[in-house]
Amino acid sequence: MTTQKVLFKNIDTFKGVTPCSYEQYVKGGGYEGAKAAFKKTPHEVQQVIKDSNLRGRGGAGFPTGLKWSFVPMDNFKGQKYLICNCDEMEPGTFKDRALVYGDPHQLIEGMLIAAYALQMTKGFIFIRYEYKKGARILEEACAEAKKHGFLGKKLLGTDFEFELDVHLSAGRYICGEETALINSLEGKRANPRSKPPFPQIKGFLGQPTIVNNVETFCNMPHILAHGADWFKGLGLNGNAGTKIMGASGRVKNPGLWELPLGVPMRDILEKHAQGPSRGKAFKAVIPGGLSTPMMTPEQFDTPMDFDSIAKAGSRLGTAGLIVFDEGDCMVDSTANIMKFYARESCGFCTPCREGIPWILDIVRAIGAGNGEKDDMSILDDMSKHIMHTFCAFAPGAQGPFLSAITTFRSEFEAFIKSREAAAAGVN
Amino acid sequence: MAEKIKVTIDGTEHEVEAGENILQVCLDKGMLIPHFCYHEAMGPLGACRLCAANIAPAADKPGRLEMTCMTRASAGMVINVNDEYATKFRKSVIEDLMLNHPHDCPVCDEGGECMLQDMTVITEHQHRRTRFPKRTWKNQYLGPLVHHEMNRCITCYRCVRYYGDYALGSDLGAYGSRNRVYFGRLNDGVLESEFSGNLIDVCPTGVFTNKRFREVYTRPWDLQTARSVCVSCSVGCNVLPGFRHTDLRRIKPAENDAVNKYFMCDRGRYGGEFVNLPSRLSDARVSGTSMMTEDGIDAVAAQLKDIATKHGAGAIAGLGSQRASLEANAALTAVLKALGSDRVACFGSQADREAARLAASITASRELPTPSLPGLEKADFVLSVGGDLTAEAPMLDLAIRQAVRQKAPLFIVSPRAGSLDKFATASLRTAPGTEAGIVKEIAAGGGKDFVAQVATALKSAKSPVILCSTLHGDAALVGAVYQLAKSANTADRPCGLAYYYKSANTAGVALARKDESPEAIAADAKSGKIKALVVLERNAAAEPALAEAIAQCEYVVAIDCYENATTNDASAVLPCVAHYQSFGTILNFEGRAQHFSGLNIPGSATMASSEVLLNIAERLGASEIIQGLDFHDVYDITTESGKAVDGIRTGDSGALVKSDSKPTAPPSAKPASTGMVAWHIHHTFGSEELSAMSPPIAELAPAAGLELNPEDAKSRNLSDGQNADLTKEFGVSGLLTVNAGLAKGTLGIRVIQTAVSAPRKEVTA
Repeated sequence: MTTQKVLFKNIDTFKGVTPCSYEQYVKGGGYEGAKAAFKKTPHEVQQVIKDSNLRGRGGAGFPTGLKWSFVPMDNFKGQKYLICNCDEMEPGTFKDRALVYGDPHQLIEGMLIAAYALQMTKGFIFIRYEYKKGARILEEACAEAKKHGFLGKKLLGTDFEFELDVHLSAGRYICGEETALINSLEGKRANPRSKPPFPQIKGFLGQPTIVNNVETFCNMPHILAHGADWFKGLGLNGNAGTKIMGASGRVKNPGLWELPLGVPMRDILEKHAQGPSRGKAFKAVIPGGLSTPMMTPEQFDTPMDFDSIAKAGSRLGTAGLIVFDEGDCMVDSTANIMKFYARESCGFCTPCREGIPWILDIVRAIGAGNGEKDDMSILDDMSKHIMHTFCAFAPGAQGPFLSAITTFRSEFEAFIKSREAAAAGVN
Repeated sequence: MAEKIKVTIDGTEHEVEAGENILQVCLDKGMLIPHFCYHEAMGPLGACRLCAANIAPAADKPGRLEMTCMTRASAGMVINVNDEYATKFRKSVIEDLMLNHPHDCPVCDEGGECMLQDMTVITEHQHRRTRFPKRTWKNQYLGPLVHHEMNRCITCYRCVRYYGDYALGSDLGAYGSRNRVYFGRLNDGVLESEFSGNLIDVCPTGVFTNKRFREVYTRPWDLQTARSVCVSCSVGCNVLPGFRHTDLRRIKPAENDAVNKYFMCDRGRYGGEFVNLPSRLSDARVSGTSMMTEDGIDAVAAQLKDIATKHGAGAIAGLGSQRASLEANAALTAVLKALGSDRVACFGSQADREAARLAASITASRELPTPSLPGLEKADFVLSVGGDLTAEAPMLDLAIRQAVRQKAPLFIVSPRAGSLDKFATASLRTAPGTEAGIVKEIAAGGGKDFVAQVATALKSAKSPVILCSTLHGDAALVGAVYQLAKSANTADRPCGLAYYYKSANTAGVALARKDESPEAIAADAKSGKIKALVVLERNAAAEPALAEAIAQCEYVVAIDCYENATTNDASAVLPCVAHYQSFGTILNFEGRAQHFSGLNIPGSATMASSEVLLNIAERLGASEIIQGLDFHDVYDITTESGKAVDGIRTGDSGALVKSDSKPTAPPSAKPASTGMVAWHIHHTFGSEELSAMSPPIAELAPAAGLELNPEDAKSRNLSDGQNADLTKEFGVSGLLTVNAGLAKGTLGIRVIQTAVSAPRKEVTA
């Protein structure tokens, strides 16, 4: 299958990280999308995005045009904010890193288009602490964009102004949740806020705010330059656009590839990632970063798009595949997964704060041969219980957890039984 | 009024207001849905997840698990609290919280009044399925008032929401994340807030407990309690003092929708220990001889009768008390009347007297609305004049903080910056005596800078309030504030006006029909015209205007609950029970008459001061006077029911009193002094007479001394920490603190009460 390189036009992920320079970016058609956008009215730009069927690339896949439509426009005179969510802390996910480190102007141009469409004059790029170098790359690119009249006042011959700042986060997974991100940006504890009010109405400092993912913004220059219909044509089976897909874990060739939305999962696993890394058959895949339910080999032909993966019982998420093979112990893997969630819980609500560490304790005990008879029933209870939390963090943790204890229950039970058998042997 | 709609809760239809909080609806209707993080004063949070129920938007729509605290009522909503999964889920939340909660209930101070215990029982969580180690924490030293025990924490966030969000304190925070969230200060140290004790009540378990109560701990169900009214300032918060055996063990706020709802200040909460002092009086003492109270009363009555017979009616005068009840002060007039005298002085100086009486008569005229504490919270403009609210009427400060949280502009005009100033839109530091002039400028509407800013904000406010201190004896200021409020008050835009006072019942005695200046009484006592003084619950010997008179007067009867300079020198001492064991009626700053009741506790006096006085009157053969004793004759007050303070019960909303007469014309402002003016600095801790004797309050009290503005200090060649001798000019000397927050031209004199020890050790069983 031939894939058109759009987002990765200026990026070669296998050649390390040298950011595409301003000159190079412009030479490749950079900032043409912004120029096209500024010839339209803000409403027209919004309509193009809506028509393109672009869905949020942060993981939830919410239609970007629809998200934008709640922002107060013409009669609103106050300050509005545009935020780029680059708190990429989802395990198995490193697509935003490639986009930021490889082609910073693509992101800036995307944000400029969004800012114009939504008439937001102040923007932030909220970038995770571990991407310190990326923050520096972005700062330099912002300075360059400013020098060339793509940031600052009186942009592209209009009265529109847009200031963009880079905010290096203190580093918490929960900051990727948009309301926690806003709290963090305000200098508060990174606890999620209750919705409504939604950030589009009351966000940063109580003002209308849009938070979009890096990859979402990066699509916008191309949509504006080539049109909504062109963008819709990039995907398969009626899905719009390309998607940066990744694979890590037990594969021969881990990495990132820009592929049409809707490509079969098997294509990634076998063609791009080149199959199992140590000769053992694949056992399971977590398709969209860690917070999505596991999928098993009989589901590998599922197309990698939001709706198909959902139909198969999981979620596309960030499309960063985490791959397990037959040599992986699913009890230990589950413990490893839950360790991450226990560590990253913000500590705000009870089932998440107390429940996940308890799950971790139990799974670890089972893995260490100290499982007890009732442990599985506690894990079953907890898997339901952690769905009723304040934000989507614990339900995210429930995805891989519930699928692990369901699909690979026999592994858990074997560990518990062997201990019981051992105990019986002593008597 | 919001629209009335119908919702179904567990199969029963209820009428509620649209948009009402479902959890609050259920709590109001007596259905106790388990909850932790929700607190009526602070609203919903959604953190604990305990108040879950199955909620469907309509009967034909599927329900799902929702937090009742985060759900607003809508028409047709169906709420199933007893839903099977919801019940299981709530139990599971408790199980989660119990994973790390220690098994220390037998030794926990919260035991018996622990919300966590109650919720555990309600949700029927009985068996812990966990077998893993619990988390542990280091506790912090938080000062003499609040004890910290972090292992018990269930992370409900109530403490930081109260302390930071509600009370606007900045030194208690939530630190860390995941299942290691720590609630405390950055470092060990005394909590800065004047309202820190409320942490004890908002904490649903034993993380924050009462450090004083802890030292003399008893199970709460073993405490004897009788609802009372706080005696520590003129706000009149309702309280629940708890006694065990011979001592007061603790004070808690008692809910009263009209006054304080959930909270009280630390001075009130911890200031009650004067009740337990070794110097509390239990026996009468006449000419140095200890005797039964009854015998003492006989002796005093005989002596007073003798003096009256020998020297005539004018030879006896009374010194009334601002901290004693209306009944006690009325009984004093009855004793005097029985002796043919009507000379009483309730105030410490003519200036204080004028200011308080004018303020009380303005309030009682009911010409302008007087905001209650809940009313103050809703103000959208606040002007505080003349004093330091936090120090002089702490709970008014906490109410103002609520207004500030709702973005009400706050303006402060006073000689010295206090705790509230950091929340002020603008503050004006001005020398004592000049405040009235500034208030007049605001009223005139002109001016510039601060004055213009206040005037503009006042004009655009919809529910403005003005607060004014009467503790500094500035009647001209009281009058000027009245004029300002009057000019701002219109039929469709009422302007609230509140004066606050020195003591719990100052507003009451300020409405006494008979009251003269203490200077007049002192002069007559010194000249020998007055031969006997009956001093009611008042340390008059410590008051500059009266000290000499007390020392020189031939016969002084002191009626009080504890030993002080006055009882030390008195010819006769008659003991009365302390306020929290006593009963009676007092008027708070609003002129709200509130009744308080007490308990008889072994080891202390047996009679309230009013009873002591009525007994004296009876011995004087004045039963007719006693029977004819009518509040309306003694005080210029009536209530709407027509009869003075009739029908008030302890713990009800009391009654706002009304005065028959119009307020007297306010005096014109004194010409602004060009030199230095002395000003008494009141502190939250240490300035109020009774609470200052309580050990934890004494520990928090600043050192006595003087304060000067840096420029004034420089011009007098004085520096910080030096002993400043200003005896010649002002009759004071003391350790100097240079304070940039003090207005130029002000000599600040810190009011710090010092306890007087008993002349001899009383032996109590």
